[in-house]
Amino acid sequence: MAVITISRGSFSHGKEIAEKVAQRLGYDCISREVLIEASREFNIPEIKLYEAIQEPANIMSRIFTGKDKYIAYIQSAVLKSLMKDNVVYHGFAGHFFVRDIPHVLKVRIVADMEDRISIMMERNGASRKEAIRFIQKLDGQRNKWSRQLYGIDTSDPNLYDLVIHLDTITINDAVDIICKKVGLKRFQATSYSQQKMEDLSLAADVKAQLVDFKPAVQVKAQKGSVKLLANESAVRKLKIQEERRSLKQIVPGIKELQIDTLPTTSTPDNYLCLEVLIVDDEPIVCERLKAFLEGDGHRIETSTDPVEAMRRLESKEYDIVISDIRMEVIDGIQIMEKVLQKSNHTKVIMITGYATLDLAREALTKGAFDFIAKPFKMKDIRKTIKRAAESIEQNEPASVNAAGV
Amino acid sequence: MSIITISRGTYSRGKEVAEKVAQKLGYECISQEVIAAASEEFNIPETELASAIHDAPSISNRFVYGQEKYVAYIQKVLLHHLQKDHVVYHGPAGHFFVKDIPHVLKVRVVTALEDRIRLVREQAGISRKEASKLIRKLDEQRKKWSQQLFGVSTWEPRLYDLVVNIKKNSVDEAVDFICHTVAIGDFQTTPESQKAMDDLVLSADIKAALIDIKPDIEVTGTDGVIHVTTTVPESQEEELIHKIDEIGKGIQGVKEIKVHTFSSVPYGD
Repeated sequence: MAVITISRGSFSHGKEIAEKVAQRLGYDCISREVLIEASREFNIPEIKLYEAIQEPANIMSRIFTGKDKYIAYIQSAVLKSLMKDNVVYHGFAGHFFVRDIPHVLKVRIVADMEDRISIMMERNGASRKEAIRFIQKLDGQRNKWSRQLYGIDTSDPNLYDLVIHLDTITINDAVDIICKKVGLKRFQATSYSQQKMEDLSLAADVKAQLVDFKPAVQVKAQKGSVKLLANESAVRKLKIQEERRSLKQIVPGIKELQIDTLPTTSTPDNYLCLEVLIVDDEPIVCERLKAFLEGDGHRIETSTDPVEAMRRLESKEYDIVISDIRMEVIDGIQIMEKVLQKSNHTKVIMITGYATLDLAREALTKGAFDFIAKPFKMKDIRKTIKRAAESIEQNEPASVNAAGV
Repeated sequence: MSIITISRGTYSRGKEVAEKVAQKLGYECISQEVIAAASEEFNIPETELASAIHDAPSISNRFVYGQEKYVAYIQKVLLHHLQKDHVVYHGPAGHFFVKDIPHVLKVRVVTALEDRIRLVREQAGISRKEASKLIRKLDEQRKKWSQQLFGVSTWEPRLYDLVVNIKKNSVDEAVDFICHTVAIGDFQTTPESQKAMDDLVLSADIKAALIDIKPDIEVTGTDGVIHVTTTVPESQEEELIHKIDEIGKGIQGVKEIKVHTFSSVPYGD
């Protein structure tokens, strides 16, 4: 049970490898079919979708917003087909759409330039010079496209789990390597990662419906409940539209719909309400932190008894746990170990006195997100939480923001 | 039997991966030893050699060719190590020196920035900001270094057979994976590929011997027939060819030296 995305330059044997991997594993292999499906669902000629994903968004497209729209549709369609699981997806931007889903194995295939040139010459009867020019143009286009849409460089190896260069490694070797890799436990879908995929897909579906809506709306989804975030005037418009015909009727899978105003001072990026647990045996620290962080819009629970905190951690998953390192009976490291064992998305921040700085470093090696040394300023805490939030945001909740797709 | 080169960014756990791969395959694992051996052979302080292979060339570097000289020395020593086969090398430039040898599996290990920052902080006990600045600086330096000396960025995926992204706790997974790839792929040393390696070693020997007299020298060769390419002002051509021939012939394994020169304009009098 896994999903594999294969990204490749044109004429790089990506399709062949994808098909062979799919055949070996008994998975579905999809690419172009996705486009056709999207096309059917949204009644858009396939060719336009193809154009949308091939050409970099240029200045014209900022005036004519069609591309954003088509890409939103494609994302929605891609995610829908990946949700079925046991899928090999090759081609357009698959890894972008699922970059935070842990059970997706993201592979990039790089072919030898000489090899690509000869395939191109053979397939299209082009001269060597034409072939080189064409391949360079295509590569350039794709790079520009991903840079404009996502601000990332497709050749950045950090985007993939694995980059395979076909040279000494043959196509069959590559197939073998990919099949072995995907067999690892971490690429098996879990209920958590599956849920994230569903959230992402639902958010993309809603976004596709709202892509014409101005000003732009940010869409978040978590376990079926969808949150629309926009500025005040957009919220009014959205509410009127909802009364006429609810999105719930249009997009299947929405259990709950909430429309919220984005705080005027904050951009969509830092709008966050996090569930935070503070564990410190000094009540005054808990109180001060609680008051301050609630002011930032987070939901705060505190505990001055680490034993009781352990019980709470048993039954509830927090976004962030802030814990003092030195406490009686159970110390901060034990709290952290408990958190990490229960949840793989919770960030743990340690509070430490000067005397326990070594312990704090140990905590970092064991998986703490960061530590803050006493005495600390509240703005230090805020900064650390902001970073933790960004780190969580990259994973969850699944959101499709206004600027992206 | 084969050779594995592992290239990595600083603080990317490449060393750990290399050591474990070597252990698993029963190969020798080398890295710093190469610098130490080169230092001994050419009588140059280790720090200077290390800086030649780690630091980006500075723009105002008066000894532009000093760095290339040191790199040629390191290349020679490293290739002699690799010639023995059954070796895992981790460190800079390995994959450049053996880029056309088929029985070398060239791997690059990358790690998420977040993990690298963590590793720096663990080891150096510095703030997050400092750590991230340090990593960025080192990466930048490395890119420049590679661009300057080899004309290509270390990020270029075509330099490697495999780029493995190490996420949290998956060093063992990467190790497994590299061992698997070297076993299934066509990385076995064959008589032909070993011969290509031997040719490369001889060329490196000659380059290291000649670089003192002519820093912009290119050396290739097969079966002891060596081609040396360089630029020279016409007036000095004959003398240079004679000198190259003399030094070259003194090196074991050389049968014939063929010098190809391009005329260059001498620096203003």
